[in-house]
Amino acid sequence: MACDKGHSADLMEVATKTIVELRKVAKSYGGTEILHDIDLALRDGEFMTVLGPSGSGKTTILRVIGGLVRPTRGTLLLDGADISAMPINRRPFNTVFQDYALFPHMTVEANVAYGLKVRGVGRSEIRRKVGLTLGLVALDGFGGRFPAQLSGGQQQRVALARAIICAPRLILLDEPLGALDAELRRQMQRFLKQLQREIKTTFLFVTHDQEEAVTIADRICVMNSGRIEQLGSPQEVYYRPANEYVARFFGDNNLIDATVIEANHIATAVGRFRCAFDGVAIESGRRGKLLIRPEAIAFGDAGNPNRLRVRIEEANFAGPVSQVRVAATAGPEVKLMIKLPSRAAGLPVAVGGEAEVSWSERECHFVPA
Amino acid sequence: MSLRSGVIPIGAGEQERPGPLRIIITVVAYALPAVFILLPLGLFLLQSFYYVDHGAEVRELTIRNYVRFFSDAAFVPVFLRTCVVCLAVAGISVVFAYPIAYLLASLQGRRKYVLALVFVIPLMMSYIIKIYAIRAILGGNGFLNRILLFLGIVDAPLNFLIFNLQAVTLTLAILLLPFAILPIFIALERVPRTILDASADLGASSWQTFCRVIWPLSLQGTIVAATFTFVLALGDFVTPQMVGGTSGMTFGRIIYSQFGFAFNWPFGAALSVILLVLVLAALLLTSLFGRARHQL
Repeated sequence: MACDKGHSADLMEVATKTIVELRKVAKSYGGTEILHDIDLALRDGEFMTVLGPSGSGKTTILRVIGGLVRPTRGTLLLDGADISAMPINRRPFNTVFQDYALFPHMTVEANVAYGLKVRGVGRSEIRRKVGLTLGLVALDGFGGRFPAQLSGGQQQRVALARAIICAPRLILLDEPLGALDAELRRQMQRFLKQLQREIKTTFLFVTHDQEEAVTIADRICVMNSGRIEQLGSPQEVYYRPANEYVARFFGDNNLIDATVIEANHIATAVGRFRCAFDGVAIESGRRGKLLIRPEAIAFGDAGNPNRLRVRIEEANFAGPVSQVRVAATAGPEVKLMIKLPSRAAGLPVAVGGEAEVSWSERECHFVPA
Repeated sequence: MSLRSGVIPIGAGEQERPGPLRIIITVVAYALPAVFILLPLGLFLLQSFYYVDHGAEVRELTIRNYVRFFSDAAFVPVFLRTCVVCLAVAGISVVFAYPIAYLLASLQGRRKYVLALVFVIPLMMSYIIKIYAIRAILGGNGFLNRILLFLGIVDAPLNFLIFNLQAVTLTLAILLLPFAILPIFIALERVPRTILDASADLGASSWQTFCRVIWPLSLQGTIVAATFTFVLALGDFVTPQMVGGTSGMTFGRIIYSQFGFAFNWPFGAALSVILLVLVLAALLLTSLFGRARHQL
């Protein structure tokens, strides 16, 4: 069991050790390649989400690791050893399926006990572990029920209990929260995160919901049409997207055509701005996009180096935040969206009026085209 | 899930008044089975309490037909033997049907339905043709004997292959095979693919997955298959007539002879009622089992 190894001793070491690694893994179905040479390393004990639109290959990655899909090319390593040919039932990974895939003819208890039973674990040991695991997923007292007698959220937790009871090295979750309503979904996200810390097991969580991915993950792997676009912490992926795709994929973003002048300086159609390059060397003259998050833009100069005179085109009150659309007076084709905390007093400037907006060097980012 | 289902009142205020067409359809839907199934059965039940005296039917209610069945040494043994034969038929059919249905269910795409059709086609063929085909295989001068002779396994044609109860059992099992395949195939088709994946994912071997997941989930279909074949075999009298010979006497043949040769319709009706009770008991048992399983 994962908890036997005393992981708490050195969290740093746990966080950096690679457990499962995909090397140049590709998968084709009938001539169409849906995964292109994927390289991905999972660190022991981390919570990684694989995020992408449907058809991006995210579920295929999960199924390759789980053993349900055999890759066309490439190797899969566990602790450095090649397990590409290892049959699914020998792999120390367990999956939580999208539709839960509970055994309808078995009670909750029998469902949860299944993995231990097929391994020939003794009856009293099974009973003890099932009790413990049902407690972990807050389903004490539900052992005698059948899956059809449970709500969606409860079925979800049975599927989870069934996956964790064998103490797998890695738990694979295939859009497990997709069928739950918004409130239950948020509850389950917190619960999963908490559970993952408690049992100190690596989680690989597939989702198409960016908010979910950002909330739950230690690292996010953003996928698009069979390729990894970016792998990084939620903050990295959000504030320092590797390319335009990732920049557009996560929430609202302002993208402005830009050219690099020199390190930390870029030029756009409406003026020059300072932009943190984070020590990355980008040659002068390189074209790309300047990214500014809508919530990073402030009215007034606020001591920021980047300022722009704009005309307010539209303002929408949306509860706690207000969305304001503005166009640069120097070049109305450059439009920005600004999100600011709503105030009872309303916006500082009325629609149709002009104002100065500003943002800091750190809050913008340049992605080469 | 529980929030979404069950809260919408189904057509509470907007239910339409039944139109004249609807009333006609409802009447026909109930009248047809009533007239063509329940009425004849009722008349039959009534007739089983009449009796025949010197070739003429006496319409007085009596239980003498039933008394005769239980007291005459000729009938109960045949009845019991028929039950055993039909149980054997059900057993053999299911044993052969299960692997075939399993194969069908595990095939992908078009091949599955083409092969399924191949197994269903015999259902559309004439019954008599199929029996003659089996006679041609099992008969004294038949295919099987010729092969055995040709291979030198036997010196003279085997004559125990046909015209006995074993031949009846085998022939019925072959004839009823499609009826056994279909319910099992449907049950297997209903097992979701992902729970098989889940079983393997949790460490089960293919055999464990079969024993713990596939078999329990297809058990009900298998029992339906056994009931189908058992009930159909019980009522059959043509097959025993054609491949049973003199030693292959079954209950169906006795009933047939009461109507066809003895012209004792009341007694035939009584025997039929006894058979019907057995059939209903078999169906009831199956449905009880089904209900127990469905409480999930």
